[in-house]
Amino acid sequence: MAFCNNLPASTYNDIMPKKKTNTKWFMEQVENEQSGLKGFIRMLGVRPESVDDIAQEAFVIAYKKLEMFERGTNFGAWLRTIARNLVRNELRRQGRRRVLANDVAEFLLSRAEEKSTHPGVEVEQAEQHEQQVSALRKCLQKLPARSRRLVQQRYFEQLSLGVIAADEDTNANNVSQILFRLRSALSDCIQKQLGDIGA
Amino acid sequence: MTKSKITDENFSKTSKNGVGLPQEDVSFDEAMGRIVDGEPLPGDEQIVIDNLRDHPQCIQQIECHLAMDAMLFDEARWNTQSFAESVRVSIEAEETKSVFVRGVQEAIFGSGFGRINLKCDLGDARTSQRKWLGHSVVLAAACSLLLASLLAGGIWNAAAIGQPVLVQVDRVAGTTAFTAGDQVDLRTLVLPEGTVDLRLPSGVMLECQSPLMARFEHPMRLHLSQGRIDIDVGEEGAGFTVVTPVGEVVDLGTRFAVNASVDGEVRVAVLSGQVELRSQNVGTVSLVDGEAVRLSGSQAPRRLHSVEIKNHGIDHDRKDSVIHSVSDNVDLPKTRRFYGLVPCGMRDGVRAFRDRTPKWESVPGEDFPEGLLGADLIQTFQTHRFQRKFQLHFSTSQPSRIYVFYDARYSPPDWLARDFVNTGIQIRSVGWRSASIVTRGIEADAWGNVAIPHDIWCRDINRATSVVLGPPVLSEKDLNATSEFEGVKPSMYGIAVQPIAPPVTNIGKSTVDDRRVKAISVGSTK
Repeated sequence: MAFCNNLPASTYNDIMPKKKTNTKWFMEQVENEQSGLKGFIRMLGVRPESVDDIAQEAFVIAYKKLEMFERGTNFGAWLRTIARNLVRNELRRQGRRRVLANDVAEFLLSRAEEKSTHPGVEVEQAEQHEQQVSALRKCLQKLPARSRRLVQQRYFEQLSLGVIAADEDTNANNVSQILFRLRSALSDCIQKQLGDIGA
Repeated sequence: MTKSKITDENFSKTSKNGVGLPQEDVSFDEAMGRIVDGEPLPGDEQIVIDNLRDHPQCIQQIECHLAMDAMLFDEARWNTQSFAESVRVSIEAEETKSVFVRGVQEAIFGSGFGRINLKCDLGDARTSQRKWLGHSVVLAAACSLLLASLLAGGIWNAAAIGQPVLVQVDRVAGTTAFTAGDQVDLRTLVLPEGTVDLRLPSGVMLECQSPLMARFEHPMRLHLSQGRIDIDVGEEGAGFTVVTPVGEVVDLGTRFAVNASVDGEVRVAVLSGQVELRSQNVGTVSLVDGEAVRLSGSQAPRRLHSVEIKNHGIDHDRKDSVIHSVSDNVDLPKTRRFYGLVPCGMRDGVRAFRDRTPKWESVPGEDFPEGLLGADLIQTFQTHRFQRKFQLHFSTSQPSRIYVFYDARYSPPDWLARDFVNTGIQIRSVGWRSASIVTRGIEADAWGNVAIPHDIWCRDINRATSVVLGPPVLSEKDLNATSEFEGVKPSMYGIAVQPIAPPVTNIGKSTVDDRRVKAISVGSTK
């Protein structure tokens, strides 16, 4: 029916029977939303190694409180609200080992909370995520050999800056700057790819 | 975001100014880059926060870098399905818990529990107080029953998740939760005390050590939340998988041990054969016989220096090892060798090395030396023994006699000759391959055994202390006369430690040699 087709993919509606189907539907949402949610959590200043933990906590809380989810609204936006609260709790804790730098994380969290008052922006960003991932794959293939090696070392092997620096006969600060430029270049490449698609 | 092209020049250039960025953009770029990379320098946070407050374009820039960083990490993950799997396990565990608690509640309060419409009426205060006290007593009873059922029962089968698996109870110690010889259907396993050996229909043998929490997904897949399980998969159990909080351990036909601690670290040791570790963050890593690693979070696997090996040979009054913290100073990439620590494990026929199969045996025609029986054994390994600066460390928790079994074909290294005494007694490491470099020149005996004779050296210490032993290389004099890598290949030494009574002062001769005790802490090459 045309009416049903107009519903967002992640809308939880009255058609859903209880329990088993809830779990099935929920696991589909985990598949669909995990990548975008992890990106969102990282953008709140959470350390890369803690992103999965917080994303998992967010999904578990969402499942436990599924009955509180307002049907017909956007499930991804609801997840992001839960994730924001988790990061807010993390910042209140002593130790705060899961965030990069406290003040920066506080700043990014406040900004995310401001943005959440304009849900359209967040939803639009989330919807672009799939396209961006697809564009990133094409851009990664265009990388020259040394850049590809750096991506491999940093993101696939998760080596520290110091270890990569020793391998490349340079220092950790230089590696950080090269990574900075590499991310900038990939971002430009993605924008260009998406622009080409839109044109 | 600063405009950049994807070229290899990026590797050699220094940072450049971007378009439309503030004056301090270079230091902002660098500081922000280090923060995104998780390795900031002092002052970086202040530079970044100042720019974020004053320059909106900086906000976009850091968000863009964090988003790109997240996409790259996400792209690098070998299997996004494992994240969904970990979420599924977590929500199933939540359901299991709630079903179990509800079951106990209903057993106590009846099936109407939870559906009572609780009202706060304005009636007689005493009545309300009595009602509240009544609820409190019943609630306390429920909690006690829940706790008692977990502790006394040891094992609980919540109407829950995963497949029930029929297991045979083979051996029980220190717990009343199981009876040897029973067959039980298990989904979830909680073992608060003792040890139990379980045999699965596939022949897989699980040696469970408390405190332990685990759950079967099906007969070939076990989720381990906490505790240690030693697994012997037998001939038909290849592919048996242990799912831990940081990844999966897939057996490729072997014996291995998995230990998940409450702080999230998982330790995996291969006792024979080979396993494959599959981690969302680290990828796939193969471990072979004698290798062990620690896994936590997204860190690369780190070497685990020592693993306690169960002693199934002889019952002994002493339960705890006197040896602790066995390690060495080998710091080579990819080194994953571990020392086996066998409490009270020294006896005729026990495995001598972790990376080779020979066993300690008595010299033909003689009894196994009585003083060694029941000593704590450190199973060493042959790899890295020729590093000249090699040091092996361990600590002892009480006065002890330290035994070193040194290859009797060669002169002892200086540190051994200086700090230890040769007892004049020998044992043998038996079961070497005849083609092995270490046994070059040794003929097989009448039974086809290739054996290396080892002199037993010993030293007494009168207190808990740290011990450092040196490399099994020859004396300085011999080393000067020959090449380290050609022809001269003594086997790695073995170690055993036997606790001794504290010395009695002023009454005859002490069992402890005071002269040696003064120089106890280091037995390494100087």
